[in-house]
Amino acid sequence: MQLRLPAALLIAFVAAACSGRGEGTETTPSAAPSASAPAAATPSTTASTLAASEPRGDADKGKALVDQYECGRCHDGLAEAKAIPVESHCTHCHQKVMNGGFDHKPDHAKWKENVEHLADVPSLQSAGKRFRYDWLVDFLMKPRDLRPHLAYSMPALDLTREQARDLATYLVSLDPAEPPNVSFASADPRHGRQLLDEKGCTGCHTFSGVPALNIQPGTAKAGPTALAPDLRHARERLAPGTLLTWITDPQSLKPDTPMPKLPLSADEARDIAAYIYTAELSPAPAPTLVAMSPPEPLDRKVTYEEVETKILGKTCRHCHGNPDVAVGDGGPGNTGGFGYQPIKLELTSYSRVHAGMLGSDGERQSVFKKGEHGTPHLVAALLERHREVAGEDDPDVRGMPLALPPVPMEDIRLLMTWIANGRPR
Amino acid sequence: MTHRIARTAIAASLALAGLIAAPTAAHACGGGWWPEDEVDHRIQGVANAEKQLDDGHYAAAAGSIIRMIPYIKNYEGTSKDPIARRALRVLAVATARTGGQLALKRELPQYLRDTWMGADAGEQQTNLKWAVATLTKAAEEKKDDVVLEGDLALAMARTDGFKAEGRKRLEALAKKDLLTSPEAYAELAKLRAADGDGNGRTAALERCKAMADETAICRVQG
Repeated sequence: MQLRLPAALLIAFVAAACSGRGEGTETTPSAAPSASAPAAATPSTTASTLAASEPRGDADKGKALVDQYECGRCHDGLAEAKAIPVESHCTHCHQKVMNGGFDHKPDHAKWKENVEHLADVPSLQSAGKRFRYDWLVDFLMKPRDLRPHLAYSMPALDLTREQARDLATYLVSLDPAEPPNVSFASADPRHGRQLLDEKGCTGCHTFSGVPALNIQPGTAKAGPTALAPDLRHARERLAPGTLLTWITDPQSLKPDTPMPKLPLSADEARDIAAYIYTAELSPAPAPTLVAMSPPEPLDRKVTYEEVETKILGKTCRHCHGNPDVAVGDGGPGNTGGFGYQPIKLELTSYSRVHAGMLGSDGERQSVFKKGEHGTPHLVAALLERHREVAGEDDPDVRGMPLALPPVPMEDIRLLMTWIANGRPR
Repeated sequence: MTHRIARTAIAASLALAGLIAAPTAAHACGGGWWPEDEVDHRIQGVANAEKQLDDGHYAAAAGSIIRMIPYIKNYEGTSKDPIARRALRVLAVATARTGGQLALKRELPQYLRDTWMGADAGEQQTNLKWAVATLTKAAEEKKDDVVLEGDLALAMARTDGFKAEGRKRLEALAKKDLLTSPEAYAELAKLRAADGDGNGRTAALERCKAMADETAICRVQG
């Protein structure tokens, strides 16, 4: 429904677009290359000012890494990647649940509730036409949330910078294209801001860091709308010419994008691009960091059943599963996946939770072993996810659940209480 | 002569036609037939038994395994049959955790009980020795399974000829907080009490009581 409003607006503006004031996007010859891209670009930013400062990697190695890190388990658009069966493919499996495609009909309703907000992941189709290489390397090293309406976020992979360069080099080699050189010198960013509302862009996109726009996106957590990125990040991800092409004809850059082609004149497109690219951004709000010390236990008894129902059985067992009942695949958190080594942690039953995991030294250790802050490892992993989302992370503790919204603090207290109670059955 | 040959040929043809037309593994029902589906009900049965085991319902878990595979103790196909291997493990773990005395009176008819109920110390040791052998083989096939290691250690600690090794293994796992059953902690408490280690006994009993549904299994003399 949310997509229909912008679509209707677009149709209404077709006539205006056809009689646009400009005859085409103003392009300029390349300026002298510059090593750095501006955080807030000047109106005369050109593609050539965005020459990569990061050394290029090895595309062949990057292609191998796509399979090793199982990028195709979540992302579509990687035609050369190893085929992933639907049961192992996060989004395809969730989409199949939503479409009622599995044979276990009675479970569909229950499953749908859990996965309806987890059925969309951005495709990497034609990544070479779209992304700036430097940004890709940085993002792979330290993923951050670009899509405020999407429940998933990119997991922090166990990558070296060299591997990130190899991966990024491979990704930008997919259907590569040089962005046109453009200038926003004669553009009207204020008009661009106005057009964001008028053309319905803000029906899907958030634009944080600028004064609030009149229309705000809905709260849908599923469907194509959820894929709309926060426009704040566009200037880092895309060269100015790419941004302009994207606004003008997104399907020319990525045929499978749900972004509609807007009925815009060339000048309107340029004004919008200029605003997105040059608007002054207020700093991102300072994150509220969660302390890594153990949370205060609740003043009541908590049993395993409650912990299992609210935490372990709801989320964790998806990746820390039982390989005996899944053709040997215990999930990334057990038998390995997404480039992670097997840590042999199974969270499917009371006894398995107590059986621990392989530590970094290869020795098995209890998940209740206390770490640096006196916090049991299992609790520390859940707290760490809060810190990752806030932009802070500890390389020694992987935030859990991987790539998913953090477990609410009240549930973490519940887990802590169960542990403090002696982990009763 | 010609007629005899013709009659023989006709008889042979009819017999052959009859053989071809006769359904092999099929149900005849209202004139229709369809191939018989083969469903291995053990798959769901073993999964249910594993759940019962994890919930601490040892007799129910063992009973359902023996009902499904009555002569499992002598079943020779286990090395090639993953479902049978899981079934064996359930039965061996249940045997170890109950000290070779599975309360199967309500689970099985008399003729299926064999020595499983451990009527005397001799039968109990027979059962435990079988459990040690079975779990040892399982541990060789499945490395780094701590739940299995804990159950093997428990079985050993209760079996003549293996007790010292079992104790050693239980202590090593307890030191890392990797014992996964209350019975293992109860056995450790018993062994520590026998050695006069009062603090060790108390610590093991506390873990036993926290993990057990029925704290009766955590009663240790001394």
